[in-house]
Amino acid sequence: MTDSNHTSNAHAESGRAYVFAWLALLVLTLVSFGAHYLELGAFATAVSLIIAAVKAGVVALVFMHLKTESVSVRTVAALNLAWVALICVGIALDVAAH
Amino acid sequence: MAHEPAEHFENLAQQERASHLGMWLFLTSEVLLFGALFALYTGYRLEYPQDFSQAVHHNNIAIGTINTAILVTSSFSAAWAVHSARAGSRRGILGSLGITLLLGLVFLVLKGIEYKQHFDAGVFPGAFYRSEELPTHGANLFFTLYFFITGLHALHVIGGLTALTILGVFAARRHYSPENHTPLELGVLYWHLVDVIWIFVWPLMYLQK
Repeated sequence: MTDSNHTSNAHAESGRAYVFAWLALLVLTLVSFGAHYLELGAFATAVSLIIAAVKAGVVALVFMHLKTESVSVRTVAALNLAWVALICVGIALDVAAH
Repeated sequence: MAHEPAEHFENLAQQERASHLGMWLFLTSEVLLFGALFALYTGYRLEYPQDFSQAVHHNNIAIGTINTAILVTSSFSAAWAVHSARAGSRRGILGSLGITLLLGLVFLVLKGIEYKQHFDAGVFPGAFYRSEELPTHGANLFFTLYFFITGLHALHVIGGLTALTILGVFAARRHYSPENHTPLELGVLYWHLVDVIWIFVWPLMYLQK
Protein backbone atom coordinates (compact mmCIF):
# COMPACT_ATOMS: atom_id res chain seq x y z
CA MET A 1 0.00 0.00 0.00
CA THR A 2 2.77 2.40 0.90
CA ASP A 3 4.36 1.51 -2.41
CA SER A 4 1.27 2.43 -4.44
CA ASN A 5 0.85 5.62 -2.39
CA HIS A 6 4.41 6.51 -3.18
CA THR A 7 3.85 5.89 -6.90
CA SER A 8 0.68 8.00 -7.03
CA ASN A 9 2.41 10.82 -5.13
CA ALA A 10 5.30 10.78 -7.59
CA HIS A 11 2.76 10.75 -10.40
CA ALA A 12 0.87 13.78 -9.06
CA GLU A 13 4.19 15.54 -8.58
CA SER A 14 5.31 14.99 -12.17
CA GLY A 15 1.86 16.18 -13.33
CA ARG A 16 2.36 19.43 -11.42
CA ALA A 17 5.84 19.79 -12.92
CA TYR A 18 4.34 19.55 -16.43
CA VAL A 19 1.73 22.21 -15.65
CA PHE A 20 4.35 24.58 -14.17
CA ALA A 21 6.65 24.02 -17.15
CA TRP A 22 3.80 24.85 -19.56
CA LEU A 23 2.91 28.06 -17.66
CA ALA A 24 6.60 29.03 -17.52
CA LEU A 25 6.88 28.56 -21.31
CA LEU A 26 3.85 30.78 -21.94
CA VAL A 27 5.11 33.47 -19.55
CA LEU A 28 8.59 33.40 -21.14
CA THR A 29 7.00 33.71 -24.59
CA LEU A 30 5.11 36.80 -23.38
CA VAL A 31 8.26 38.27 -21.81
CA SER A 32 10.18 37.77 -25.05
CA PHE A 33 7.33 39.34 -27.04
CA GLY A 34 7.26 42.33 -24.66
CA ALA A 35 11.05 42.74 -24.76
CA HIS A 36 10.79 43.04 -28.54
CA TYR A 37 9.02 46.40 -28.08
CA LEU A 38 11.58 47.78 -25.61
CA GLU A 39 14.51 49.71 -27.04
CA LEU A 40 17.22 47.25 -26.08
CA GLY A 41 19.44 48.11 -29.02
CA ALA A 42 22.44 45.82 -29.28
CA PHE A 43 21.16 43.62 -26.44
CA ALA A 44 17.85 42.73 -28.11
CA THR A 45 19.27 39.69 -29.90
CA ALA A 46 21.06 38.40 -26.81
CA VAL A 47 17.95 38.83 -24.64
CA SER A 48 15.68 36.99 -27.08
CA LEU A 49 18.17 34.14 -27.51
CA ILE A 50 18.78 33.78 -23.78
CA ILE A 51 15.00 33.54 -23.19
CA ALA A 52 14.80 30.97 -26.03
CA ALA A 53 17.61 28.95 -24.41
CA VAL A 54 15.79 28.98 -21.06
CA LYS A 55 12.57 27.80 -22.78
CA ALA A 56 14.44 25.02 -24.59
CA GLY A 57 15.96 24.05 -21.22
CA VAL A 58 12.50 23.80 -19.63
CA VAL A 59 11.24 21.58 -22.48
CA ALA A 60 14.36 19.38 -22.34
CA LEU A 61 14.55 19.02 -18.55
CA VAL A 62 10.86 18.61 -17.71
CA PHE A 63 8.97 17.46 -20.84
CA MET A 64 11.85 15.40 -22.28
CA HIS A 65 12.79 14.07 -18.81
CA LEU A 66 16.45 15.03 -19.15
CA LYS A 67 16.48 15.64 -15.39
CA THR A 68 16.00 11.92 -14.74
CA GLU A 69 17.71 10.46 -17.83
CA SER A 70 20.88 8.36 -17.81
CA VAL A 71 24.33 9.94 -17.89
CA SER A 72 24.84 8.81 -21.50
CA VAL A 73 21.64 10.55 -22.67
CA ARG A 74 22.53 13.72 -20.78
CA THR A 75 26.00 13.67 -22.33
CA VAL A 76 24.49 13.40 -25.81
CA ALA A 77 22.12 16.30 -25.06
CA ALA A 78 24.96 18.48 -23.76
CA LEU A 79 27.04 17.73 -26.87
CA ASN A 80 24.10 18.85 -29.05
CA LEU A 81 24.34 22.24 -27.46
CA ALA A 82 28.13 22.36 -27.76
CA TRP A 83 28.26 21.47 -31.50
CA VAL A 84 25.61 23.98 -32.52
CA ALA A 85 27.31 26.70 -30.45
CA LEU A 86 30.65 25.76 -32.02
CA ILE A 87 29.49 26.04 -35.64
CA CYS A 88 27.53 29.27 -35.01
CA VAL A 89 30.35 30.98 -33.13
CA GLY A 90 32.94 29.68 -35.63
CA ILE A 91 31.07 31.14 -38.60
CA ALA A 92 30.40 34.40 -36.72
CA LEU A 93 34.13 34.82 -35.96
CA ASP A 94 35.04 34.06 -39.56
CA VAL A 95 32.58 36.61 -40.98
CA ALA A 96 33.68 39.21 -38.41
CA ALA A 97 37.34 38.66 -39.37
CA HIS A 98 36.77 39.45 -43.09
CA MET B 1 0.13 -8.02 -22.08
CA ALA B 2 3.34 -9.73 -20.93
CA HIS B 3 6.51 -8.42 -22.44
CA GLU B 4 10.04 -9.79 -22.50
CA PRO B 5 13.25 -7.98 -23.33
CA ALA B 6 14.85 -8.73 -26.70
CA GLU B 7 17.51 -11.48 -26.61
CA HIS B 8 20.51 -9.15 -26.46
CA PHE B 9 19.27 -7.22 -23.41
CA GLU B 10 19.59 -8.33 -19.80
CA ASN B 11 16.24 -6.88 -18.78
CA LEU B 12 13.53 -4.43 -19.82
CA ALA B 13 15.06 -1.48 -17.97
CA GLN B 14 18.29 -1.88 -19.93
CA GLN B 15 16.34 -2.17 -23.19
CA GLU B 16 14.43 1.01 -22.38
CA ARG B 17 17.62 2.92 -21.58
CA ALA B 18 19.11 1.78 -24.88
CA SER B 19 16.05 2.89 -26.84
CA HIS B 20 16.11 6.32 -25.18
CA LEU B 21 19.78 6.74 -26.01
CA GLY B 22 19.11 5.70 -29.62
CA MET B 23 16.29 8.25 -29.89
CA TRP B 24 18.48 11.02 -28.48
CA LEU B 25 21.20 10.17 -31.02
CA PHE B 26 18.61 10.48 -33.80
CA LEU B 27 17.46 13.81 -32.33
CA THR B 28 21.12 14.91 -32.36
CA SER B 29 21.29 14.40 -36.12
CA GLU B 30 18.18 16.59 -36.42
CA VAL B 31 19.69 19.26 -34.19
CA LEU B 32 22.82 19.34 -36.34
CA LEU B 33 20.72 19.62 -39.51
CA PHE B 34 18.96 22.71 -38.15
CA GLY B 35 22.13 23.87 -36.40
CA ALA B 36 23.92 24.12 -39.74
CA LEU B 37 21.09 26.29 -41.08
CA PHE B 38 21.20 28.50 -37.96
CA ALA B 39 24.96 28.86 -38.49
CA LEU B 40 24.32 29.96 -42.07
CA TYR B 41 21.77 32.47 -40.75
CA THR B 42 24.36 33.78 -38.28
CA GLY B 43 26.93 34.34 -41.03
CA TYR B 44 24.59 36.07 -43.50
CA ARG B 45 23.02 38.19 -40.79
CA LEU B 46 26.42 39.53 -39.74
CA GLU B 47 27.19 40.21 -43.40
CA TYR B 48 23.86 41.96 -44.14
CA PRO B 49 22.63 43.38 -40.80
CA GLN B 50 20.47 46.16 -42.34
CA ASP B 51 18.83 43.94 -44.95
CA PHE B 52 18.08 41.24 -42.38
CA SER B 53 16.57 43.76 -39.98
CA GLN B 54 14.21 45.11 -42.67
CA ALA B 55 13.28 41.60 -43.79
CA VAL B 56 12.43 40.49 -40.22
CA HIS B 57 10.07 43.48 -39.94
CA HIS B 58 8.22 42.21 -42.98
CA ASN B 59 7.28 38.99 -41.16
CA ASN B 60 3.91 38.67 -39.41
CA ILE B 61 4.84 38.88 -35.73
CA ALA B 62 1.26 38.16 -34.58
CA ILE B 63 1.11 34.82 -36.41
CA GLY B 64 4.67 33.95 -35.38
CA THR B 65 3.92 34.60 -31.71
CA ILE B 66 0.57 32.78 -31.70
CA ASN B 67 2.28 29.80 -33.35
CA THR B 68 4.92 29.81 -30.61
CA ALA B 69 2.22 29.68 -27.91
CA ILE B 70 0.46 26.91 -29.87
CA LEU B 71 3.58 24.74 -30.14
CA VAL B 72 4.63 25.06 -26.47
CA THR B 73 1.05 24.17 -25.50
CA SER B 74 1.15 21.15 -27.83
CA SER B 75 4.37 20.06 -26.10
CA PHE B 76 2.49 20.17 -22.81
CA SER B 77 -0.41 18.09 -24.16
CA ALA B 78 2.08 15.60 -25.70
CA ALA B 79 3.87 15.31 -22.34
CA TRP B 80 0.45 14.74 -20.76
CA ALA B 81 -0.08 11.74 -23.06
CA VAL B 82 3.00 10.09 -21.50
CA HIS B 83 1.81 11.17 -18.05
CA SER B 84 -1.54 9.45 -18.76
CA ALA B 85 0.22 6.31 -20.02
CA ARG B 86 2.09 6.08 -16.72
CA ALA B 87 -1.24 6.25 -14.89
CA GLY B 88 -2.71 3.64 -17.24
CA SER B 89 -5.37 6.03 -18.54
CA ARG B 90 -6.15 5.18 -22.16
CA ARG B 91 -8.68 8.01 -22.40
CA GLY B 92 -6.03 10.39 -21.06
CA ILE B 93 -3.57 9.30 -23.76
CA LEU B 94 -6.11 9.63 -26.56
CA GLY B 95 -7.45 12.99 -25.35
CA SER B 96 -3.94 14.45 -24.96
CA LEU B 97 -2.83 13.17 -28.37
CA GLY B 98 -6.04 14.52 -29.93
CA ILE B 99 -5.36 18.01 -28.55
CA THR B 100 -1.73 17.79 -29.72
CA LEU B 101 -2.83 16.84 -33.26
CA LEU B 102 -5.36 19.66 -33.35
CA LEU B 103 -2.77 22.24 -32.22
CA GLY B 104 -0.25 20.93 -34.77
CA LEU B 105 -2.82 21.30 -37.56
CA VAL B 106 -3.68 24.87 -36.48
CA PHE B 107 0.06 25.66 -36.53
CA LEU B 108 0.31 24.40 -40.12
CA VAL B 109 -2.79 26.34 -41.24
CA LEU B 110 -1.39 29.59 -39.76
CA LYS B 111 1.97 28.89 -41.42
CA GLY B 112 0.14 28.41 -44.73
CA ILE B 113 -1.65 31.77 -44.30
CA GLU B 114 1.73 33.38 -43.71
CA TYR B 115 3.26 31.81 -46.82
CA LYS B 116 0.28 33.06 -48.84
CA GLN B 117 0.94 36.60 -47.54
CA HIS B 118 4.59 36.28 -48.59
CA PHE B 119 3.74 35.01 -52.07
CA ASP B 120 1.22 37.83 -52.58
CA ALA B 121 4.02 40.31 -51.77
CA GLY B 122 6.41 38.68 -54.27
CA VAL B 123 8.46 37.12 -51.47
CA PHE B 124 9.66 33.77 -52.82
CA PRO B 125 12.83 31.79 -52.06
CA GLY B 126 16.05 32.07 -54.09
CA ALA B 127 15.91 33.06 -57.77
CA PHE B 128 12.11 33.43 -57.66
CA TYR B 129 12.34 36.39 -55.25
CA ARG B 130 10.60 39.46 -56.71
CA SER B 131 9.73 41.71 -53.79
CA GLU B 132 9.60 45.38 -54.82
CA GLU B 133 9.37 46.51 -51.20
CA LEU B 134 12.62 44.79 -50.16
CA PRO B 135 14.75 44.50 -53.30
CA THR B 136 18.08 43.91 -51.53
CA HIS B 137 20.33 40.88 -51.88
CA GLY B 138 20.39 40.44 -48.08
CA ALA B 139 16.57 40.32 -47.90
CA ASN B 140 16.60 37.72 -50.68
CA LEU B 141 19.06 35.62 -48.63
CA PHE B 142 17.00 36.09 -45.46
CA PHE B 143 13.81 34.84 -47.08
CA THR B 144 15.57 31.94 -48.81
CA LEU B 145 16.76 30.83 -45.36
CA TYR B 146 13.32 31.62 -43.91
CA PHE B 147 11.56 29.35 -46.40
CA PHE B 148 14.17 26.62 -46.06
CA ILE B 149 14.16 26.58 -42.25
CA THR B 150 10.41 27.04 -41.72
CA GLY B 151 9.61 24.67 -44.62
CA LEU B 152 11.89 21.98 -43.21
CA HIS B 153 10.36 22.60 -39.78
CA ALA B 154 6.83 22.28 -41.23
CA LEU B 155 7.84 18.92 -42.75
CA HIS B 156 8.94 17.86 -39.26
CA VAL B 157 5.57 18.98 -37.87
CA ILE B 158 3.85 16.82 -40.50
CA GLY B 159 6.16 13.90 -39.66
CA GLY B 160 5.49 14.35 -35.94
CA LEU B 161 1.72 14.50 -36.46
CA THR B 162 1.89 11.31 -38.54
CA ALA B 163 3.87 9.52 -35.81
CA LEU B 164 1.51 10.71 -33.06
CA THR B 165 -1.51 9.58 -35.09
CA ILE B 166 -0.05 6.07 -35.47
CA LEU B 167 0.80 5.99 -31.74
CA GLY B 168 -2.78 7.06 -31.00
CA VAL B 169 -4.10 4.09 -33.01
CA PHE B 170 -1.84 1.74 -31.02
CA ALA B 171 -2.99 3.34 -27.76
CA ALA B 172 -6.63 2.88 -28.78
CA ARG B 173 -5.86 -0.81 -29.38
CA ARG B 174 -4.52 -1.08 -25.81
CA HIS B 175 -0.88 -1.59 -26.79
CA TYR B 176 0.46 0.51 -23.92
CA SER B 177 0.56 -0.18 -20.19
CA PRO B 178 1.96 1.87 -17.29
CA GLU B 179 5.09 -0.34 -17.41
CA ASN B 180 5.52 -0.44 -21.16
CA HIS B 181 4.83 2.52 -23.43
CA THR B 182 8.30 3.23 -24.80
CA PRO B 183 7.13 3.86 -28.42
CA LEU B 184 4.77 6.57 -27.14
CA GLU B 185 7.59 8.18 -25.13
CA LEU B 186 9.93 8.20 -28.13
CA GLY B 187 7.30 9.67 -30.47
CA VAL B 188 6.55 12.39 -27.94
CA LEU B 189 10.30 13.12 -27.59
CA TYR B 190 10.35 13.81 -31.35
CA TRP B 191 7.42 16.21 -30.98
CA HIS B 192 9.28 18.09 -28.21
CA LEU B 193 12.29 18.46 -30.50
CA VAL B 194 10.04 20.04 -33.16
CA ASP B 195 8.92 22.49 -30.46
CA VAL B 196 12.49 23.25 -29.32
CA ILE B 197 13.56 24.08 -32.89
CA TRP B 198 10.64 26.48 -33.29
CA ILE B 199 11.54 28.11 -29.96
CA PHE B 200 14.73 29.29 -31.71
CA VAL B 201 13.17 29.97 -35.12
CA TRP B 202 10.74 32.46 -33.57
CA PRO B 203 13.27 35.03 -32.22
CA LEU B 204 15.55 34.66 -35.27
CA MET B 205 12.82 35.11 -37.89
CA TYR B 206 10.31 37.40 -36.14
CA LEU B 207 11.80 39.27 -33.20
CA GLN B 208 15.16 40.71 -34.30
CA LYS B 209 15.34 44.41 -35.10
